[in-house]
Amino acid sequence: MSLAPSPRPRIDWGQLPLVVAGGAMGVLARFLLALAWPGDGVVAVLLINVAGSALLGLLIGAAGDARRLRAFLGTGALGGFTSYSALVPWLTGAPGVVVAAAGLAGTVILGALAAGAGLAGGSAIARRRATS
Amino acid sequence: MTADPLLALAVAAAGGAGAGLRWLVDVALTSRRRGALPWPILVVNVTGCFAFAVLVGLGAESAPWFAVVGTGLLGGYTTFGTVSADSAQLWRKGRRALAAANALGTLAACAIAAIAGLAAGSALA
Repeated sequence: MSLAPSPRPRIDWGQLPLVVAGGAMGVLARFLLALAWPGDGVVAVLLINVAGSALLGLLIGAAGDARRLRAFLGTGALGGFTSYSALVPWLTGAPGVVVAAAGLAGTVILGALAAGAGLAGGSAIARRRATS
Repeated sequence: MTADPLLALAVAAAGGAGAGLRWLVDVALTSRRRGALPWPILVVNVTGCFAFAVLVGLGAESAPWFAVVGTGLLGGYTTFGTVSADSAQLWRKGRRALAAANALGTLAACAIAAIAGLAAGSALA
C-alpha cells in the first residue's frame, strides 16, 4: 500500500444513482410547477431558477462536506430543478432584445444573490449545530 | 393544467438521465481543471443550451416528445443553481471578478450557443 497522495481523487460512483434519483425528482417538480403556472411558464422558470439557487446555497452552506447528501439534493434534485436551457425561450419569446437581455441578466444576478444569501444562512445553521 | 401521468413519468426519467450525464461530464472534465473557474459546468450548460436551441429551431417545441427531451433530458442536464452557487462561493472567497465572469460569462456563452443553435435548427428544418 502506497502512502503517496493520489494525483486525482477517486471517482465515487455511489454518487451517480443518487444524482439520477434526485435529478428525476427535481426535473419533475420543475415540469409540474411550470405546467401549473398561469401563462406560458416563462416567469415560472425564472422564479424556479432563483428559488433553486437560494436552496442550493443553503444546502452547500449547511451540509458542508456531506458528499452523498449534496449529490442527491444538490447535484441531483436542485441541479435538475433549475435549468439553464429553460432560459432559451426568452431569446425567441421576449418582446425585443433589450427586454430579453435585461430579463436574463436580472435572473442571473438575482440567482447569484439568492445563492449568496442561502450560503450565508446555511453556514449560520452549520455553525449553530457545531456549537450546540 | 394537469399533466398526463405517463408523460410526467417520462419527463422525470429523462431528467434523471440528464442529471446523471451532467455528473459524468463534470467528473470527467474536473480532473483537467486547474484554476478556480468551474468551466466543466460551463461546458455542460453551453452544449445543453445549444442542443435545446437546435430543437426549438427545428420547430420541435410543439411536439409531444419535446417535454421529455427538452424539459426533461436537457433541462436536467443543464443547471442554473450550480452556476449561481459557484459564483456566490467565489464572491465570498474574495474572487469577485471571477465570480462575475462565471455568472455573466455563462449567460453570454449560453446565449451565443443558443442563437447558433436556433440558426442551425432553422437551417435544417
